Amino acid sequence: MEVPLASVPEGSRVVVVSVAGGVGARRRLLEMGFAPGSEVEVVANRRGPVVVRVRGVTVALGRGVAAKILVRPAGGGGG
Amino acid sequence: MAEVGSGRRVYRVAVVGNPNVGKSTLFTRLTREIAHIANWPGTTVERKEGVLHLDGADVVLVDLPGVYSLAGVSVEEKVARDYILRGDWDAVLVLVDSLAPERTLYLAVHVLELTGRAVVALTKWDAAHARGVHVRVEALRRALGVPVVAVSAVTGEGLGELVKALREVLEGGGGEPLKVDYGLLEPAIAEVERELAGLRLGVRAPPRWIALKLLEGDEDLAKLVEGAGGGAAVGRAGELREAVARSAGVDPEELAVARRFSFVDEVSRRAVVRARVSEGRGTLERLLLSPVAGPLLSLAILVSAYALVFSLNTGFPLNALFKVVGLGELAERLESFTLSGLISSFFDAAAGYLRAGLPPSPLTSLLADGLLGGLALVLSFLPLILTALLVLAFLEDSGVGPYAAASLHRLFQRVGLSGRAAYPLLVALGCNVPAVMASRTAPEEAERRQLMAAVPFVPCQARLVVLLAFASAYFADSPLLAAAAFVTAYAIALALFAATSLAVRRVLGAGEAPELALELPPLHKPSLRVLWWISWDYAKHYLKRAGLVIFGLSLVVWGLTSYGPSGPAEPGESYAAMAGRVLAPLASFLGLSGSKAEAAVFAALAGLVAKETILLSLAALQGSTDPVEALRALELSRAQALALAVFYTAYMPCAATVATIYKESGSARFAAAAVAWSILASAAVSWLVYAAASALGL
Repeated sequence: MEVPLASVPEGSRVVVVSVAGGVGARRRLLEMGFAPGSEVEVVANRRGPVVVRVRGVTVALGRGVAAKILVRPAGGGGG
Repeated sequence: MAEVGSGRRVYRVAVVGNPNVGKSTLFTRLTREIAHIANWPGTTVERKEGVLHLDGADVVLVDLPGVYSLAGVSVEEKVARDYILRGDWDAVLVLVDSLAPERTLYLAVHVLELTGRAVVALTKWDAAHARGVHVRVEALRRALGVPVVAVSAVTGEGLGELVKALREVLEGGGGEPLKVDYGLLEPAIAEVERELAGLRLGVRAPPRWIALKLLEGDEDLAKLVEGAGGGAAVGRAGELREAVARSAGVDPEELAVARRFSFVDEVSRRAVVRARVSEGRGTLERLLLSPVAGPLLSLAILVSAYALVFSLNTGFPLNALFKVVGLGELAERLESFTLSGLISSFFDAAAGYLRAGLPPSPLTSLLADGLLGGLALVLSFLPLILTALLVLAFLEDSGVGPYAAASLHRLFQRVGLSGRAAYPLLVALGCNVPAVMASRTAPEEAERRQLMAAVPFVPCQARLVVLLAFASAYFADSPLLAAAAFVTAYAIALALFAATSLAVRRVLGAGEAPELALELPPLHKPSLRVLWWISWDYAKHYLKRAGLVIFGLSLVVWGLTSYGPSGPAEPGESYAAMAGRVLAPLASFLGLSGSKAEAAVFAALAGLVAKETILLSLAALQGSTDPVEALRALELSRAQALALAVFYTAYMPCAATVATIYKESGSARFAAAAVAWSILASAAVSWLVYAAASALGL
């Protein structure tokens, strides 16, 4: 079950499936660590930016950006 | 400036790392002094060099911008990549954050695929253990095939070893480039590599690297290869790209990034152990990220930072507060003991001493008013810039800045900026010069240019004084009208700021507002020593770069206001007054004519050096000492007064700001365009204000 990162509740662990977006923005996200297969932990997701931990780094993502990252639940479930 | 060479061997080392990896800190710690600072040609990206003196050799460290990769998407990446591909380096120093090796090793792998003449430094070693991260240096060295040294810029640990490792690579050569297994892409890489054989590309990259980049769809490299007669290779790479995308269902770019990260994961499995200590997100972090309290707290922090900078330097806004509560005397005392106050009283005393000691002559006036005045102006910016940069460095290095930027992002997105614009915007309310310098906090080239062009519309403290004088002269009888006039002036200023930012973004073709994808480094207490080194270096270089321009411009304006065709002249007979008479018809758009127009234009010309001069020169022209009296003597209508106040607020950045824009953007054309735009925009807006206010019967 693939969902946009923006809709993942706080505290969940997910795995990146793919990243959409324009050439430059997409490449930047991939290389900031949101490459397919990377594990992401959602730290904060209420109003305002979505805050995640990815590859040992905390990153704040605008909601528009977070909507472009497709993820599936970590550990077996789904994809 | 450190001396380089003189018979000694000189090596150049490119220093590259992710943003937040601790590059400036390590750079400063290694070299102690920036030997050379400039912009990379045609960009606002700063180029910094420092020298490391070893026995028998000098090592010039070239600081490349903080980047996530060498993809060449952003201006920063292009700069870093161009230097690595074409620069005259002898070795590359790659920084890896020991707190986040799983992410920061990516860039290292990317660089090591290019060259084996490299050393990897694991930064923030002192903090790694406390955060439960253990990196096995030896395992990392074996996996990467180059020397790996753990260092701490805070404690100094490992620095000696790092220098030794660098020296060995510089003198001994270093190994082969790293080979990453690209899986599905491998056959395509081999094929394109064969097509590239025999081409002279003039870049320092192995053919395998170029082949991979072509498969990833890199347009710059495709152009380069085509230019060298490799059209066939580029064409074949394009076909293979599509073939791979069809068969694998993923485009080669994503595939390549994912494979590089898998390599990083493999290396990390062997070399990194993470103890599951608590992630250490404290109360402050949580508060800063909360939807309502976050932006409020961020604003409060930034406003306090701003108040600290300017209270120290000029007493503002503390002095205004004292005046409001009836402590005028205390306010004045505060002002005289601020850094700017101390500098100006020192120079006033020096000028007075010269005037008393020397016979009154044009030469005395030149010395006491022209030269000393210019010097005082330049020096008065030094503590202001130093403290503003010190506070900026503190915000950035402690991690508070990025948190504040994230929580304020939405507010700024509407005007095409990111949350990083908050600090420069606030600083601009005090003085535009450090605000233009603080634009360096923006992560993107386009945003830095937006800020440089837009910041001068923010009324600084000097312009607040002008606005206050207008309010006292024309709106004193009605507090409501005075307040409305103030709000109008500030609202117009902010609207011009927003419009300019959006216009520059559009002209640069940078697309929509920057999207938020911002790293939040863990909050920590920065090393004050390192903050001081970094800020002091910048302030010193500011003096060298912009000081001379400011000094020259202020001398020119002084000459124009104190000399006329027949030598030294009263203000009314000076060249500036003559120019005012010639240009006076320009003021007719505000319904001004005759001596009123001349005075208004003269004041505008005099105000070019510093905006507070507007009031002084009006007073001097009327032979008065009270600027409010002098303003009243112009007998403007309220509509005219409001429009003129708006014009004076926006019409042109002062000489020091222009000089700073020029130096920070590295482009005279950009500075000239910003000036021209501000003159046009302010004329148009003040005319609108005049028309609207007249229609309202003011």
